[in-house]
Amino acid sequence: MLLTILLLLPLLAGSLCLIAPARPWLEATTILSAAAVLVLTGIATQQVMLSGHISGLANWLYADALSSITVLVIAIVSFTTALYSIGYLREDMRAQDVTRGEGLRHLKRYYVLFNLFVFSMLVVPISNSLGVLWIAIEGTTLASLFLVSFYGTGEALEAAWKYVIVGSVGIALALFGTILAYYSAVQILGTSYDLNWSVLAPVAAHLNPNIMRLALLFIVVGYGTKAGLAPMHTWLPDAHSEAPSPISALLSGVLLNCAMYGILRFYALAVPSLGHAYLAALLLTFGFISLTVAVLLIFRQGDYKRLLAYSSVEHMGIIALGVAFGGTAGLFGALFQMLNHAITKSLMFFATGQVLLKYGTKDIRRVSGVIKLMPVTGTLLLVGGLALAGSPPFSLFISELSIFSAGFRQGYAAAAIAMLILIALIFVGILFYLNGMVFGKASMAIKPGEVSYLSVAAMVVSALLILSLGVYLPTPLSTLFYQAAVVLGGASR
Amino acid sequence: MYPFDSIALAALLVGTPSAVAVQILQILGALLLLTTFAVVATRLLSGAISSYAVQSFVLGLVAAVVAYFTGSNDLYIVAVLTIIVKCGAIVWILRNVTNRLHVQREVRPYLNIPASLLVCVLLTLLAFFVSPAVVAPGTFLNEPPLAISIAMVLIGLFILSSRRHAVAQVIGLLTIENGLFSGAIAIAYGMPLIVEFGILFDILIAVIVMSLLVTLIHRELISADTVDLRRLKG
Repeated sequence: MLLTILLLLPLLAGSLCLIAPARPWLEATTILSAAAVLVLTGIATQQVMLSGHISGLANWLYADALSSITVLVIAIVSFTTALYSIGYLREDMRAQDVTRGEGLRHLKRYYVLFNLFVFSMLVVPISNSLGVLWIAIEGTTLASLFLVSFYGTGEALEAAWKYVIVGSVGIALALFGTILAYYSAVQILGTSYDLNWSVLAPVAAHLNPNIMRLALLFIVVGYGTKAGLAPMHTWLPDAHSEAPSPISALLSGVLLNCAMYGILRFYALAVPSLGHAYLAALLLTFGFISLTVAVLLIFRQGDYKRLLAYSSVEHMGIIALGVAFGGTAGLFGALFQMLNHAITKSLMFFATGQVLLKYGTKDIRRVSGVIKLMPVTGTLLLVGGLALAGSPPFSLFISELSIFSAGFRQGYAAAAIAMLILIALIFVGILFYLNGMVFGKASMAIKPGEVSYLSVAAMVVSALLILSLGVYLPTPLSTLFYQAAVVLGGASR
Repeated sequence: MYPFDSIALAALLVGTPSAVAVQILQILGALLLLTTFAVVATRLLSGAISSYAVQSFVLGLVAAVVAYFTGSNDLYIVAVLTIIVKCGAIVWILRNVTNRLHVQREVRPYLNIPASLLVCVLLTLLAFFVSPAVVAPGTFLNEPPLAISIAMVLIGLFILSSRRHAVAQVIGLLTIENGLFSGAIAIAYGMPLIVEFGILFDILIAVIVMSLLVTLIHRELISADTVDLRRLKG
């Protein structure tokens, strides 16, 4: 029941936005729905921790600790993004008349699709069926496509086209993986079962390992495309840089994690029959390619939104490495990294969104002195940048440290050291660019002052979250991570 | 207990496949491959769309035949829906969007037609070469149908990367999807009904959304040639 309401809320909000007469209605509906989703997620998570899992809607919905973490990520970031969107769009569409006609339709389209996008992402972690999981991930592409092309410029349309084509090919490969996994279970369960996780998990050890090996290859490549693992990441920098900033935050912070959840779910399904070694090799490969690509491209970026996009590729690579290293520390690190990445990266897209509105350019070299023109945004940009690069006392430092130590503990010392070197290089790159943007001489032509206080509020919430998680991890949260590590079958090692 | 169960179940499912069933499916499989080649063989988008329509119809027939020989009612529904959604709705949408474009043919593909066909032959050979690795021997429909599915997926990928027209790329994507769909039937007698519904619905929405996007691109760039989509780099 709880899960059903959780899903219905954004769907309802989307429909209400469709018939809303004016802007305040759109904003109120969206933010209220996001807040309610956040509260319900809290309650659902608590129930999951008490009873292991909850289900609903005639067993179509199912949530365990792994799902809960993903839902939590979606709920937190979609709430801050909803808050940020209000301020951002008010400023962004200042020149247009949004009380009627084309302007209002444009605005409406944003909020309707925003809610639909959140809905499609929420379906991903709480669907019981692995087939529905696939449908939902394909759905996220379709719901977010016109958000990516929101500005309607040639570049935005190009980014959207690349996004849908590359994304669909990836997702098609994942479908093949899903079919193979289904096939391997048909041999045990017969054709009449529904591909449900709750049915598959108990027999996971008996699945045909040869077929599962191939299935997982297709799943990792397929969902990896949407998760932004290199070399399948090509759509990602374009979509992230051309989309409106709040949408970039959702794409990068949440969507990538949803696709990663798909990989993790299949990982949990395959570990009992395949063992860890093969999966670790697969994830190590893509993890390192991602980190390397991120290093190479971060150093030659001139566009700060693309810079952040490549940093997402890096973080997804680190999550893959965390799972590959395995053990409690590795899985804990990977799951914690998902949460931290989501909050930190959305904070950065929020802050750079303010910069974009103020300076009107995405060129790193033409932005300087942000902290003088916008003291709060500038400070938050610096805080977010430091956190993103992985410096203490922010939470990404904790999760990356945990993954690093897992590498040593599980016998991947060389890989862990290589990871550390790549992360250090990216640290230097990000801080170099950030230094130029935050400090330096401010342009005289631009009027000082914050762009929007609602947006600033969203950023402050995110910044406080990553700071407090970096200093202290509450016991319920660490319990949740531990339980999710058990779902992934690695808590004992 | 599981290994025994699975053997009993497999025997139950497989029964003794009549030679007729296998022959019909082989003919249909050949037709599927032929229509896939036909998509590659033409530069006219209308021709490619027609080939896709025939391909989807054959696919519906495959589902119906497998439904008949396995006695699965779900597959009958899937067969009917496939024909309605793919031959009906999707083909209609594609024709509609194509008619609105200035350029209705592939002007200069990255690879000319004869060379493309040669590549497709090679891809098909590759598919027949790798498919035994996928399926455990002894399954009812066995290797040829799966090889054809893999060939369709590979040819679809090839269309996607060798054609420049946006609509041609959509057809490439749809060919991949048809290949996967036939693959699911070949190795597992289709997916669970609700999943099939969802997939068909997704494909339909995807085609609608992509058509809208093609129209927007066309309006913005006055072409639907993806070569004009080359501004974003690095």
